Amino acid sequence: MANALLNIGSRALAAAQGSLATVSHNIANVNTGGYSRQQAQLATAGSQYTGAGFFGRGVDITTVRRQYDQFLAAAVQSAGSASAADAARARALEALDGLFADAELGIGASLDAFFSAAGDLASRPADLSARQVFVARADQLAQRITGIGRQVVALGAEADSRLAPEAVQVDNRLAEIARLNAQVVLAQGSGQVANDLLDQRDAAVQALGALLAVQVVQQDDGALDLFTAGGATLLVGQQRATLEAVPDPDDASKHGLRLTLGSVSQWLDADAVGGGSLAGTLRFRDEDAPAVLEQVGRIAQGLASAVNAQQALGVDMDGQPGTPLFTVRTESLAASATSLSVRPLSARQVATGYAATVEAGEANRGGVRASGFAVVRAAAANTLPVTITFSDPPDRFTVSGVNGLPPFTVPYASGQRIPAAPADYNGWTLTLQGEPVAGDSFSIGATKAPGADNRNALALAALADDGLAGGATLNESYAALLGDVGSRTQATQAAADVSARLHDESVARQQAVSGVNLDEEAADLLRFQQAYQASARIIQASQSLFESLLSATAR
Amino acid sequence: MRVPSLHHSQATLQALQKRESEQAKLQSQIASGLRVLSPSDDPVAAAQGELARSRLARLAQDQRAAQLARGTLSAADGALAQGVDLLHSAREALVAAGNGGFTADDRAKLALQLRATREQLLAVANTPDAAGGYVFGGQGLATAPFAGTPLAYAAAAGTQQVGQDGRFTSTVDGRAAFLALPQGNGVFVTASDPGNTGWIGAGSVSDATLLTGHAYALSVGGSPGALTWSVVDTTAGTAVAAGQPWPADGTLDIAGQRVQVGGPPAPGDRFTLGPAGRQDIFTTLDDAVALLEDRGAAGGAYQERLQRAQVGVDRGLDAMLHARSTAGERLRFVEDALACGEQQEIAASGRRSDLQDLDLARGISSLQASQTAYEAALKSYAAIGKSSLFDLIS
Repeated sequence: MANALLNIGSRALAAAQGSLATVSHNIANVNTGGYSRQQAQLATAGSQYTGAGFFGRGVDITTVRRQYDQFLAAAVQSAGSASAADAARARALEALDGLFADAELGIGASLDAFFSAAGDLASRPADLSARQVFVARADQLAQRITGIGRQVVALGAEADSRLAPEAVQVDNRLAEIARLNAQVVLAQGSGQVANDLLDQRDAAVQALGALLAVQVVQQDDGALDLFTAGGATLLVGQQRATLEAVPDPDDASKHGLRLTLGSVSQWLDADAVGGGSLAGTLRFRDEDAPAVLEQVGRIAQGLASAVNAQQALGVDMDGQPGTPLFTVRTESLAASATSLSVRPLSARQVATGYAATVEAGEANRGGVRASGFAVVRAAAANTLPVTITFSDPPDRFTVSGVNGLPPFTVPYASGQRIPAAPADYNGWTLTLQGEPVAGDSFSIGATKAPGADNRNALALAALADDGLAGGATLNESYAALLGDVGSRTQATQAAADVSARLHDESVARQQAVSGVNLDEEAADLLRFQQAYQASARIIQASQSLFESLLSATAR
Repeated sequence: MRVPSLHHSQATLQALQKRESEQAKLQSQIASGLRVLSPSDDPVAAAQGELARSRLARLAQDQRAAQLARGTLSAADGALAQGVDLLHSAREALVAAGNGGFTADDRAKLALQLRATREQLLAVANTPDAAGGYVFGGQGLATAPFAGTPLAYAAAAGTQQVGQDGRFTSTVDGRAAFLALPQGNGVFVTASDPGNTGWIGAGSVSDATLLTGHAYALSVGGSPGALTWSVVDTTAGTAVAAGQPWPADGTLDIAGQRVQVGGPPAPGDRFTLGPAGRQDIFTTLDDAVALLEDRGAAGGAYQERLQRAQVGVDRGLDAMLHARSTAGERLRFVEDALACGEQQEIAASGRRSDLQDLDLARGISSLQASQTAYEAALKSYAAIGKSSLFDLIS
């Protein structure tokens, strides 16, 4: 019996010591990320049958188990991927948002400065400095638009340049997991669970999940198989895919992600990547940056084509037809956004006037007047002399001098556009209104002082209110661009906040199961210390029993 | 629930950092005075604020154009007032020239005065505005509008428009004010044959409904003491009146045109009436100077030419007063637009401020609330972090 007592005592000592070692391991790893609390599992060592019944044989440590819930760990894994994707996209968008932060330095302020200069030009067409300022403001506007366009392109390029190092990290993680897989399989061959290796491998999978979304399948031998969100194989057994960022065959300016397994390779886009920072980066590069760039390009194209067309309708200080002010590449909106520039026009070449002018007859007695004279089609015929004379009674008028036509008569209605849209006489139109008297006349001829004429400058300034960018004015289009950038950023920030919170919560739930609490360990330490001391007493008791027996039998 | 030590401290630290970044944001909002620092802070306010900013810039430009128009129209008003004064003095000189007691030398003095008036009036017509243009610049001109011999209007007749949609007028039509003035009484002109004994006045309209715009020839017949008159419509080639007895006061009504023939006329005198053409005020003054310097002019012919010069100046006054009232109307429109523009500027900047500016009181109180919460979190974390079961095990 004393022998049994000694056995029980020494077993209990060993169990308490093992438990203390586990507690110490927990305390030592209180600050180790990804560590799961371990616990020594105790079980009775069975019992011995005697005629007097079963006598217990003490305690044994069956195994050391980590506190772990695979479902909670999977939740952390997927929330981590989503959070990393949103965070990466939000970071990139915040940089884009910053580009549009200062209203006074924006495209809108430059547009206003340009149209304001056009207004000043209309007020003082003969003033060379007003013309000079107009050309200079056009140049500043072009630089501002291309500057913003280039910065957006640069942000897209920066996102693009993140792909290659992250692809290398993915490869490294996959290699690490493959190595850990092999170690786990080897270590667990004994039938015991390799807790610390598993923790290490879980941490590696989590880190991989922060780069791209992975699906994890546990094998019977303890190894993990990994697949992308789209189902492509990343790691099966020891067969491992490689991820590379290689120049996109369709667009050499950016990289594509190519996943190669053996001899098979496939391209991954943001949807195929599914999550992780790679997905966020791809989404910014392929969706956000191009959308913003196109809106900038639409402003650039609308501005350049409208201003150039208006310039062409006018004449410059020397009476020459206006030449284009802007140049822009038009093969795509993105190209327009970065290529707007101003041609080196001299101040005299700004077309402030029209080639032709309408003048009321000197002897007009009626109240009829001409307004809204505008050149709508630049032509050499613009300056041909034309006379409009009211008949008697003045309910019609005769037009003579229209290119290639004999004089003809037109019925008169006050306020009518002459000729009716969309036709024109020699490239111009006008409006007559008021009560004419027979014999009242208007003559159209070449402008006497084109340098002091402001009518085309007024038309240039009025472009500010025209729907040049898809039906919206340039300023409205820019305001919409601001709203778009703002709401993209805001929405992504909100998504990043939500997914970060979800990730935090899943981590909190997982840590509530797996984390180390020092108070708990202190209590356990105390408990097992006491158990150890008590077990020592058992040995002491067995010794005193033995000594009592010895002394009783000593004669 | 178990509270894992590492996660607990990390989560608390994260919460503290979040508070700190919140404070930094509030701090920069307060420092800049703006609620919307970048478009993502409030996309709608950023877009609307941008439109308000653009509206303000557009209003400022329109106000600048209106101020320019106000400057030139005020200058025009001053120039026209001066022109009216000059023409009044010319009118007085011409009235004085009708004084029968005046000698040829007296008239020559008046002629000198008229010559000076004409030069001054030309200077008025070429008045520059304050901004490098000309008040009477018509549809736009960079050089003096009235130049050359004979004097011609270099600009296109009309006005130059500035501002949004060209709603402000920045010049005055010089042709209408100085050059294209109706002759005579404004409707018809009269003339007499050089060999006439009698003379004819400038006439007036007695019945506007009878006006035809035709030319008429009036001839005096009969014998002294029993004069008759006949009129032929030379445009239509028809006789209007024949052999009518001469009225005692010499006033005849011909197709709504009333003329007075004085002298008295002699049989065989011929007069013509025709639709009024156009003559500029400078030519009228030149004619008057020539008349006053003509030492041979006397009697009925002198009176007739003098009267013609007087009505010419009257027509100049008419045109100038009309131009002045038109400029005044336009000036009033510009003044109204300026006042209205100021109101709109206030409204637009108020709207922009509503959209983008920070309510400072709210910002500061948020910052203080956040600071208090931050300090409380720090203290509680420090207090809880201090206690551990290990402290109690000895």
